[in-house]
Amino acid sequence: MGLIISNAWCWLCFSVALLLVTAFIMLRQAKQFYLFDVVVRKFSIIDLQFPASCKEIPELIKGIYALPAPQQLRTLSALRGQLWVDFLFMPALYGSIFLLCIQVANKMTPAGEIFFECLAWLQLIAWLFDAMENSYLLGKIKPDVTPSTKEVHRAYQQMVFSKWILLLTGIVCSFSALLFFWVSGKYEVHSLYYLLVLVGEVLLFGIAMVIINRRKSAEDAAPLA
Amino acid sequence: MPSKTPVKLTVSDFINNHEVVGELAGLKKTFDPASGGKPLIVSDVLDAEGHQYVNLVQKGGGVFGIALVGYTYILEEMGIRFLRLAGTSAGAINTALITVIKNKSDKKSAEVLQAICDLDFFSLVDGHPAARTLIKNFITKKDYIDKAKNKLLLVLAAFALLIAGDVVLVGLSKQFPALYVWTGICFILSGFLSLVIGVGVSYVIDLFKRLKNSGYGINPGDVFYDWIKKLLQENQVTTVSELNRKAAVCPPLQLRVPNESGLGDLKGDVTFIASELVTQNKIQFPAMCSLFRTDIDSLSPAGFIRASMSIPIFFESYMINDIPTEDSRIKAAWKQFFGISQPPSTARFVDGGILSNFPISIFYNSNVQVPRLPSFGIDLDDSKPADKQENAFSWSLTGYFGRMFNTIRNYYDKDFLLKNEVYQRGVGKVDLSSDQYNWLNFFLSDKDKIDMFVLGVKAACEFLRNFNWETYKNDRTDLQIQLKK
Repeated sequence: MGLIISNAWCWLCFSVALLLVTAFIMLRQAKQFYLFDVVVRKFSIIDLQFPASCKEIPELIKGIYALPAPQQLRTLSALRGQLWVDFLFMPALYGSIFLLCIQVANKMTPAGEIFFECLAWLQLIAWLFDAMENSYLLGKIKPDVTPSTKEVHRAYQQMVFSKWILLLTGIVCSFSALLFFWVSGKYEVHSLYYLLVLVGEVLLFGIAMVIINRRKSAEDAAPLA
Repeated sequence: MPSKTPVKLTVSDFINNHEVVGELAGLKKTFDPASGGKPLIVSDVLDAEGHQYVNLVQKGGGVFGIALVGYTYILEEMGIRFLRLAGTSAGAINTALITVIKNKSDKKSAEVLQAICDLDFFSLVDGHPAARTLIKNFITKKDYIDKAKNKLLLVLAAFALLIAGDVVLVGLSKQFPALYVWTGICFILSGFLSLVIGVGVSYVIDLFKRLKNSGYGINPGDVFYDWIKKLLQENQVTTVSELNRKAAVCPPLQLRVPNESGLGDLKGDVTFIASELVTQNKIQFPAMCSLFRTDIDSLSPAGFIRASMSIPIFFESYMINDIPTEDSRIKAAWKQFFGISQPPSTARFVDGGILSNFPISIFYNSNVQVPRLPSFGIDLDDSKPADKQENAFSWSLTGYFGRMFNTIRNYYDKDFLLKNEVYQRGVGKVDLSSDQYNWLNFFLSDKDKIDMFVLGVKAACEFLRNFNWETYKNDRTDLQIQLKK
């Protein structure tokens, strides 16, 4: 652990790189998310994470199976694929937040240090919840899907909410603290190199997204042969 | 120690209510020859048991439908039965239940009331939990919008203060290191509040996206559909043919006095009104089923009632997909009903009330000179005192749009009643104008439900006391003679 913490910035660069690569793949897969509900329409993974009722997930999955065969296969493969890729995305995401919180904790007063260390370790629980959520959803993707009981649905909802609260709290608190260190000039100069690497990774990700989106738009606009 | 288990509303709570019992006893006494009253005569069409038959149209009005049940309860108790039935929205629900429960000559109110007792009204609001909460608060708390506005302002003010605090504390902590910790806390709180605001905004955007995806309907209406479908099935109605059969079957009828029109053409039927948005037409179910399917039994009768009560925005539209547009029978039906030569492949229905909330005109029969039975109607008057103000300059923006919408949606039926004023005499009005009631209040207390039922009972009693069949019959005959001149 000492090794990780002493090289936290370096590890952060690796985990953010993995996070951006997996996010890129997942965003590409999400473009195939369609279902048939009166008309063919798009959906997002968020619809599966925040169902309004225990019937909503089964209805959404039934909507995928109601699509014409080629689109149905594309959507099912993209959805399953995204859930599997998410297992790679998770260590990158929660690991990045963990490292950020640890970095902030090192510069804090004793009380702040305890708070941020707790926040860092809580990311492991968020990771566990996320993995359970994905397993639950993968189990649901079948033609004869049935609604879960109210208890299971409530447990799923609480797990998803807890996951989001933990990870968003981690991100927001650590970023706010880092911003504070930045404006008050309390940072070490060598960390700026890592910051540049992180900015470079994000820029590369942005450029890749723009290129892919432009190519997709051109394909959509091209007349059918 | 009192039990904490909530006491479930029962049919007895409605019909044994002291006001209901008193009103009914008074009414029976009014028409009891033994007590010096005249016998109640409202129709010339009778069955062997002496029940008098009328046509009945019931107005739409959300949860005010409970008042309709109070009204029909009194009519049934006074020996009145219904030959032809029509209704829109909530009126369509009571119409459907009266049609399918038992036989035409039987009383049905107890079963209808049982269905009401068994139903959790709030379950009909089956949309997203956030939307359910918003609707509930919006309807049940009068100052909800003001309070929500104040809370939003408070959050924004706190955010502005925290940002200002960040700037001030960063400057001060350079000179006063003791403030260092407080500056850090202020930054974290600012970030946290940004998160809360961000999540709130994303959530609102997501809700609007959901609303768009669901065809601009907050509630899917699936719970209602399942509820009404189950009730129809319990009464052996699963297909349109079974619904038509149930509506048509009458006991042997006879005329109190001879009538040149005889009884040959008298048969029961049922009509639910829905508004179709693709072709912009008023649809009468089940009579117009041939517009959508060559085999009418492939449509669900529960769907007609679901279509009729699809309050725009509140409920999702009801759709009929895959209309066989190339089939000559479908084409012929669209041509016949609406003069449309290219039928749509999908029909999208919203509440019939936006076109004809009180469809009494469908009982107009120009072939009958002397009526054999009256057309009764149950009107639900929920216009608030402010809606009745004639000062054209004192309206709010919502009041202005409300009046515009009401003028458009009500005039279709009003025009018929203005031109055929005699039909108005068969209409009883339930006064629901009290601020206590809201037609979209699906969170009614048991007391509210009973109160609405009692209002329906009182309106029916008043109507029957004032209704004069001979005058009605003569006036309608005069109207027919004038029209034929």
